[in-house]
Amino acid sequence: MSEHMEALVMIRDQGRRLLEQAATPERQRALLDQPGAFDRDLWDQVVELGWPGAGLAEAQGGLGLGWSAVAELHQLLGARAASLPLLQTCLAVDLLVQADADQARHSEALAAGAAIACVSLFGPGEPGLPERPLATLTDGLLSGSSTAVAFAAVADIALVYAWDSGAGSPVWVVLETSATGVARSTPNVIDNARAMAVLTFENAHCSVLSIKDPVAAARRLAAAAAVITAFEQIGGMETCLHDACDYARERRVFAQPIGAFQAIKHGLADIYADLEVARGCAIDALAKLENASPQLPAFAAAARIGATAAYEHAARENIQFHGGIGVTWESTEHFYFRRSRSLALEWGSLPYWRELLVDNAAMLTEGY
Amino acid sequence: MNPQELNDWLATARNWLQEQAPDYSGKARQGLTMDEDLALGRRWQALKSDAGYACITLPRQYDGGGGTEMQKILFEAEEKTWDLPNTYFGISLGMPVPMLLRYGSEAVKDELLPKAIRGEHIWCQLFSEPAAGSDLAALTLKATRDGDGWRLNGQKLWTSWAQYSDWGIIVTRSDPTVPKHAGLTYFYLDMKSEGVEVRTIRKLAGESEINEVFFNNVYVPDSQRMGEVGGGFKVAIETLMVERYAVSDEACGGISAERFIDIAARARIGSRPALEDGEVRRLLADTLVERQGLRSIHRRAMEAIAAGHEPGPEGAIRKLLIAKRRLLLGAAAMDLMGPDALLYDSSAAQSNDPVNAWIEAPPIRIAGGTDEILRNTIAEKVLRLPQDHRPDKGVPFNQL
Amino acid sequence: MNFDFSDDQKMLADHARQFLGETCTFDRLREFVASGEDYDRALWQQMVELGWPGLSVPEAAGGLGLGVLELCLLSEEIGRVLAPVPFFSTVCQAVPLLEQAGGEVADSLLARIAAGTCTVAVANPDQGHSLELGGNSCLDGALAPVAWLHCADVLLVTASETDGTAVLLSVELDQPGVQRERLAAQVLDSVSAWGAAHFDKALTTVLARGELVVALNHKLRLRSAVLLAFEQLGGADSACTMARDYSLERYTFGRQIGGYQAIKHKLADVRVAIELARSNAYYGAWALYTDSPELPRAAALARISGTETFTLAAEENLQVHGGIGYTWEANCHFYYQRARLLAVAVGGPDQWAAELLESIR
Repeated sequence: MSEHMEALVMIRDQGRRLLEQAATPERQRALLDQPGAFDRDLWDQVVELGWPGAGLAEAQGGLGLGWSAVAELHQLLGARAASLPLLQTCLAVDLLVQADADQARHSEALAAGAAIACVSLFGPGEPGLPERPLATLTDGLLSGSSTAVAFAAVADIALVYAWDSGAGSPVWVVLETSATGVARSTPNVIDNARAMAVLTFENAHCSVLSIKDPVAAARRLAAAAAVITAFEQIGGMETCLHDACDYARERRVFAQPIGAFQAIKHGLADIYADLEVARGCAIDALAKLENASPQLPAFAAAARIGATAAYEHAARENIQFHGGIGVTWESTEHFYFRRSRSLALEWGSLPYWRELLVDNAAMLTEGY
Repeated sequence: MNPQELNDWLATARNWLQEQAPDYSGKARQGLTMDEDLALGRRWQALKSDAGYACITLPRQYDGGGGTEMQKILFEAEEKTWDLPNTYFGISLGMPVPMLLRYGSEAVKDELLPKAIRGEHIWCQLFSEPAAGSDLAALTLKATRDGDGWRLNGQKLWTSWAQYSDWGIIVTRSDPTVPKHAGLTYFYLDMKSEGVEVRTIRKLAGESEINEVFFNNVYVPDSQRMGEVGGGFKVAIETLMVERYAVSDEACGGISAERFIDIAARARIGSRPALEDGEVRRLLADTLVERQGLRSIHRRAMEAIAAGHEPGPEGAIRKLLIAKRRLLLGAAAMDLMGPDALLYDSSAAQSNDPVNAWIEAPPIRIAGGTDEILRNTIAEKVLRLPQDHRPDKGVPFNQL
Repeated sequence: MNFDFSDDQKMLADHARQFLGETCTFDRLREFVASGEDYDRALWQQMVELGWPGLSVPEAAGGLGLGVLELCLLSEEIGRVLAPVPFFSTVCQAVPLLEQAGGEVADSLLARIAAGTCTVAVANPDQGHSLELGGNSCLDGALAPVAWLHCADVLLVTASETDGTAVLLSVELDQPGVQRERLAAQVLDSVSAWGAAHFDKALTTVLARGELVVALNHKLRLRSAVLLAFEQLGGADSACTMARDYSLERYTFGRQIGGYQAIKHKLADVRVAIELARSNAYYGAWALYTDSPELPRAAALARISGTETFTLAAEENLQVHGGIGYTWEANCHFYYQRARLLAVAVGGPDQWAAELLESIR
């Protein structure tokens, strides 16, 4: 086993144990009741284990385990319906290193877990990347607002895809959420455990990232987010399938376990088929992400569509299989139901990704 | 074989196919009757055997290839890119022949295996009956003792290629007084035996490979029994498990996603190209996602086999998904073609022509495990869910 | 909308169901296919005796003077048994076209239809593009595929004059200028017959011209959608019944297959779809009958629902039958093929979905 693999296995096994003990249903219910909630204790513990820097290069203060480590950790998070901004950390550092050297202090803080980042990319009223982002940069000051963004409630810095009114084109800016002119509100959302907040900017001071092609960077960032999120979704649906199968073996009606009835067993078989298709798409897309392949857009879209549709299917049916008990607050099924919908909306919804996939269909077959 | 050797071997095989296949595929088959096509197929099979490409995993001493599972899978995938007349031998070489290799005496194997591998003989598999399809153990074809052999009476159904078969493997009911799985016995037999009558069944469309086979007091020597008396069910299951990884093309013989794109790009809905229609794009996106996922599963299975491991259980979803997808894509493409799709030319290639892709799709969702049985298998074997309620369990067959 | 069929209409439907159930059996369909006949002339003759061709022909022209609702019900019954007769083109399409076009020639055709001495093939309006109409209304060009074209007495087709004006033509098909053939072996559905024709200075009569033709064709399309929806409904209903009957009869693992939820729920889903399709078809019938401005929407709904439901019912019927389902001997293929045929007959589902959205925006 390579050194990297060993490190990865260690971090994963520690993570699994930690999540089993810390990400409990009681805790999750408490988080869901509180808009903008964040599990700070859990975050502090994973920082101790080195999670924020796991995927980052050593030059950025990370462990150099790459995107596959981030994917594995998100799969663990997804399985327990836990929410931590690992992906956001990686995306932010990725953007920052493309830009000036003076952003290094942000990167270091992020890699060490001393700071939390959020990324505002998608706009309201459309499923895909906005042609003209809502927040506007004028004379170096940012005005306007974001939509509800995951981890914005606790983020120290925000990466914002904005509209540069001078240049008449999109631009990436970074700002500190404590800066003058930045306000945040935490509306009630379908999944309050995501630390969501809306950021409002009023002539806020920010730094423009000197990225050559901000639009291309936005697309790349969305693709990376889609791939990593696919693993979080796979973790979630594995739990749904596992829980539903357990329940189907245990619960009896008409003197039979409900799993002996074909409506249940075939429904579960269909979820399994969806899960494995989604996993296949995600594994291949992860390889394209790690190799920075030009085929990434189509593979990421396939991963996004496969995982999103399959997770929602699994989460919805898991409630159905549990019958009456599945719709109570006490059950855990609604954690996944909420999460599956929230993740389906956070990184561009399926109409956008389907367009991207169909337009780039030929990419899937290059070299196959 | 290391990866480099395997690559070299495949390159050689590919060249060989480039050289030989054109004379046996595509144009060479156009306008042939089924009999003529079969004769061509037999020649192709013999040619492959000479070159070591027939039954690659079976020993060279019987004219097989003496190679590995990986070589077989790679060669078959390559062979599928040519439209070759090998469908007649699919079952014969896939199940009965490997079973004969396990259960036949040396003398019998020496005599029969090369003939089957070279395509001179075809073997059929006589399992299903009118009242025993998914529920194989419900079969009723009777085997009764007669001296040093057995007499068979009854009927088999869905027997592929029986009309051309020289030999067959058969599961019979030898004891109706015990529970149904326990009273079965398995044989191989000469299809030219007295009392065997084969009738071909017309399918809803296309040339038919399926038959019903009647047994009227057919004699089978006990030396042709495979496995124990009463142990037939176990041997039957073993037969169905012989091919641990069957190669099937990703469009399931129907039109590919690319062909669908091609049709949608040319068709119009109102004033727009159909390819711009949301419903068409959604179907296409779902098709591409499913295919991409299955490609990944296939690739990982190949890696597992190459490393000497069992492929994961996820391979079980493949047929369930692609058979249904073939039907959907075929019908959707026909919708886009409008009344042109009414014209049906049964000789058009199913991989190119949506009408044929659609009309011959239903048997695929039924044969080799219906969608319903496949879901049961996934649920019970992979997800460890309980069996359906089974009132027939443990009850003597003649009391059911 | 408060809509139902009257008792008289229901009685007509009951009679039709009984008559067709007794006469137009699967055995008869099979014989028909084997005979190579153009259409089931004996069955058609019986329908003539019942007055069906003239059902909606005005009494003045020798018909029964009944309306479109009766046609809806008969279409459902014909769809149920997949009767191989030119009922749809002659009665559901040609009669209203002729009535609305008016004129002497149209009236005499109506009288012939009512008398049972004339069957009509009707080409889709967009099929006539390649036909050329020369001087003296002589027609040149080729036309295919059109249902019953090879065996009908008269063709109604839309063509263009040299200046592009649309004209609705009637063509007596038994004339030297018309050569016809049956597209027998190559058509999808074995119990309907489709033909091709070649015209060489064929004599025609202009029934209507210009804007009127466009209006007639528009109405024809909507009417066809509604009446086909009833035919699809009938087909779906009998395919569902056939699957139900088989699921009660067939045993696996010691149980009736209808007792397994995979089968039971499949059939329940088909049943749900049928009830929805019925409701949509009735809406279409009502809109047609009252000449409602909602007709485009109602027709599209009926058409989409009818197509989806018959497709589902036919596919699932075949699947429920298992192996026997895809043999020629089991009759599932009759529905499977007819469902597909009707799906592409007057525009596919995507097209009607686009029209539906257009009609509600």
